[in-house]
Amino acid sequence: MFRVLKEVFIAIPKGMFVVFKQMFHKPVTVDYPFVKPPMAPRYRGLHFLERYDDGSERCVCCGLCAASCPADAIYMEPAETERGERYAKIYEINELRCIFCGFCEEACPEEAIFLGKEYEFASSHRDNFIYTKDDLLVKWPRTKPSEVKFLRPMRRVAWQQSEEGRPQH
Amino acid sequence: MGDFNITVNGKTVPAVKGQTVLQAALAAGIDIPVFCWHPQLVPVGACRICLVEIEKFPKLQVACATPAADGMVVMTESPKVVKARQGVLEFILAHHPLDCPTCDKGGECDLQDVTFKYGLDYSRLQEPKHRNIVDENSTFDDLQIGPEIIRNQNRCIHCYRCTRIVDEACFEDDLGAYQRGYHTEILPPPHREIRNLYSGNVVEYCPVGALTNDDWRYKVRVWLTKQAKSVCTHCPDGCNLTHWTFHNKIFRATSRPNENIDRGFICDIGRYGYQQVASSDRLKQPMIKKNGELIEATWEEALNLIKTQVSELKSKLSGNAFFGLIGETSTNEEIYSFQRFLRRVIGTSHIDSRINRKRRLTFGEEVTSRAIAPDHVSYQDIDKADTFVVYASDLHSENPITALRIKRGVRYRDAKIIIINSRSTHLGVRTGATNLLHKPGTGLAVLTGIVDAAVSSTTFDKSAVGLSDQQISEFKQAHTELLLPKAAAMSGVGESDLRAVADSLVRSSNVVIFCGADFSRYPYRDEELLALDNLRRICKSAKLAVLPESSNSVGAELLGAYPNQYPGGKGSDAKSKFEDLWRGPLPDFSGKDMIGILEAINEDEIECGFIFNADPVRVFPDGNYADAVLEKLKLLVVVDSFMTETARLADVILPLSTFAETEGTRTNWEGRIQYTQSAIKPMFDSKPGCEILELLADRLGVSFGQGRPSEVYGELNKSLGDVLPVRYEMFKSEGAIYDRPKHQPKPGFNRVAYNAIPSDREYPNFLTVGNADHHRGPNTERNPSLLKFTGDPFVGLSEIDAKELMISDGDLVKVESRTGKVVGNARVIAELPGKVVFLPENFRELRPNLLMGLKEKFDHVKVTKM
Ligand code: SF4
Ligand code: SF4
Ligand code: SF4
Ligand code: SF4
Ligand code: FES
Repeated sequence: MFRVLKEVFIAIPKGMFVVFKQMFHKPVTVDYPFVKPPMAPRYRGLHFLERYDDGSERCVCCGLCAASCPADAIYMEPAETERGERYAKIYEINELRCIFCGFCEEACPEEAIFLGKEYEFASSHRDNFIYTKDDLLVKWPRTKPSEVKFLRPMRRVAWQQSEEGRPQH
Repeated sequence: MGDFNITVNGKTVPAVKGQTVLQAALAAGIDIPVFCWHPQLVPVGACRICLVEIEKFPKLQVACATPAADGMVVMTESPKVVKARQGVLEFILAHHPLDCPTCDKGGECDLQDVTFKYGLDYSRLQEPKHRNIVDENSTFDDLQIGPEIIRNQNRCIHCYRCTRIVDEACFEDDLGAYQRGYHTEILPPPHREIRNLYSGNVVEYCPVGALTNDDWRYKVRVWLTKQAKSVCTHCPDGCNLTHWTFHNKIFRATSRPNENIDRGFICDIGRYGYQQVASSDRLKQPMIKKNGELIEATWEEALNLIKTQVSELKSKLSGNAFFGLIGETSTNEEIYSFQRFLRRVIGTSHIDSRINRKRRLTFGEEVTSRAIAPDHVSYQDIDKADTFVVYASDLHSENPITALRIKRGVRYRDAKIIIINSRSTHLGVRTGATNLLHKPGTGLAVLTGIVDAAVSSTTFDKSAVGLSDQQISEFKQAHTELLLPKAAAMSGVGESDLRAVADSLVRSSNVVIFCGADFSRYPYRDEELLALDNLRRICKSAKLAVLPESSNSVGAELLGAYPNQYPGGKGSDAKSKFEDLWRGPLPDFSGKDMIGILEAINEDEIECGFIFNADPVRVFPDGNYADAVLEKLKLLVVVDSFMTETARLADVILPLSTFAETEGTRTNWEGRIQYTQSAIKPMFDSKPGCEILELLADRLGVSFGQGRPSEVYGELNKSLGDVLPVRYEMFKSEGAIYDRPKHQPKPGFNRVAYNAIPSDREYPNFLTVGNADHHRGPNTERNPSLLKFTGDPFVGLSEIDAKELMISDGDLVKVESRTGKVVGNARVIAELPGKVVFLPENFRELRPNLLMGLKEKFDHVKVTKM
């Protein structure tokens, strides 16, 4: 009996106090889709394939992304251009299998594949989640400046400049 | 155990005198990285990656070229060694493009592996990388240096394995190193391509991706593939292969070094010969002929049709109205199942596998009555021999790896080689052999002339070879027409040459005589074997090998694919044994052979047949006859992988899986039984041979319950335990040689009868059949890579004939014989003697068998310009 009374007169008002207190706080949710929350700088969303500054594809279809992918989400078939260069004839990512770990980006020796900020790619059909090369390659000419910083041309410069980077011999 | 011990990394390791430190270490399972060393090549010490520290040596030494000595103390991973290797790699990588993402070698690259283990992740060298630019417009510096081979000079680490392989292992001359330092270029000689028959090996053994081939180019990453152990089916050499597969498709074949056979080098025919598996004329589904047209059907329909038709025919006729032909590239298990199916289920003994009557390996009365047979020769015998006689064979194109072994002996053991042929062959050109080039059809005269020269020589020691004066004089009396001056005149070979050859044969302590395709093509096959046996008798120790036609010809002979022979070479007395084994009655022991079968069909005695993996219309000499005769059959069931000329005549076609999809064993020319894994699952709706034969047997009312090769082999093992003492599982590790019965030939020389080839006014030329470059037999033209080497089918003419007929390269010519004609483009071949016309047997469009009459003993033809 005493316990019931204690609940009614102490516990409930205590709980309601928390509720009322929250009414004067700023909400943590946002009014999605009219308002979008800011993304973490290292957020990993939908993949895209980058290009060189002359518009040619960076990907050479080496298969390392597919080899590193823990979800086996990437499929590709290489081919040769008329100039004897290797490129990806088919490059597909199954975004339903992908776990967005970013290993592919990590593995890529050509800095061709990146995980972007895009996350709105729901669909009502499974097949639509297989992203082909056309879907993944950035549009050319670019509609907006590239969001990625390429490390490759900078690497050499970096260790030439910093003393720590120099070999210790 | 070894001659002495050395210490490697604190471990005592036995070493044999003459071994290098590297070999001793590798044998003990201690790994030392190498780039330029290869077990079959002379060490050069070009790359320095194998540096090791040896006590009492002031500097590091290359393990690959330092001979092991008693008590050496070697360290392969000491800090000094590791640092030295780092340095070596830094220099190698100074100009290495690090193309790995686009490089075909990526994933199986020695440089990658070694760099991963020892290399630094940076370089202290800052000058730009040297680049060998082939095309200014491309970032890829690839250059096609042969029909199949692509070179990227930037990746080359100058180990010279490729050039040494071409020279020291393949004994060819079409690859070399030009310029110096890092400008060194690997190139064929000026104005030439690398296109020798073994050219693919340089790609396989280049430690980096500097040499790659079109075949594997940018197709699939190596780490995705699975490997299957296989054995090449293109010739009876039986090289071991690895098939690399991905998603049920084969992407390449490489060698699987087998010390007993290929030692890691295979020919291009085996390397690219897998491509036919995916050829567009593969049979995809069973087919049934309706109103003269073949239409696709299901297995059920096809089998039911066979069942009703066969039972109907069987109720009217006896088993003798049926026949079966099987190709000699089938596995042992297929051959055994096939003959069991025909003997037990169909009830006929008309079975043969010797489709090409001009290449049979069985001999007539005369030979058997004297108990003369080819010897049991193996690759090991080649290594021991000091003289080789190659009789009537273009060994280089028929048995490329056997030829390679012989060339090894010639190069490294100073063995002599004597070639007796009516056309000049590549083997003779490349080894500096003694060539006895004789007029077509006079081989017998050459052989007998040599024997005469030997026995007439004053220095001939007859007791050493067990001959008596009486036997010699009998020989002379019997061959008055073929003795020396006459033999030389008849054959066109100089008398002194014959004497010189006789002399060197008599002196040799170990002779191996090979005879190949051209031998079995002559109508005087029996006499020639007798003459070769005479030759064998003048040598101190000689072995005679008759090289068979196909990859499993020896197996076909052994497993009863012949009419008058049960499996294991058993005769009619084994009938009851096999009746017990197969639980049912067997037909009469004797049956008809290939020629007899065709005759019987022509006379309407045989009305129904099964042809398994064979194409008589294409290969039986007299293709027109075979075509017309097979057309008459009431029911023809063809089981084959491809749409062959014979399959077009079939009433029912069952699609057979190819060698790559079928597990089983094959027997090479030595008699070595080797196991082949199936690399991929059966493509399309095809089935492996044993399964098809089991289905057929089951449908016709006799089930053996042996649809799998291992089950068939189990029975084989049981029934032929005396001949095949090895269990199936044991083949999986390595092949085993079965013991062929030994023969005890009668003493004394054989009597050889010789008839000159009559000249023919109307058809003045003599037809020779052989292989075009990079082809062997009728099955290789479905491989696109091999076609690149040969170009279009051609008619080979000698320079003399071409001039006489005013024909130049590429002209359209007609070749006619009494029985048929073919039309093709002429190619003038300098090595051909006059009056000889050469036709490759590899092309469907230009089938030499159309020119060969069944009744004609010799193949006389006439060439006219069109
Ligand atoms: S993000 Fe991870 S799971 Fe997704 S494709 Fe890349 S490697 Fe595979
Ligand atoms: S995206 Fe990068 S890692 Fe993947 S295949 Fe292309 S180049 Fe290679
Ligand atoms: S040769 Fe080896 S190290 Fe060089 S690019 Fe090719 S895979 Fe990489
Ligand atoms: S091409 Fe290959 S095998 Fe030949 S020297 Fe260069 S690295 Fe060695
Ligand atoms: S492997 Fe010894 S120097 Fe190249």
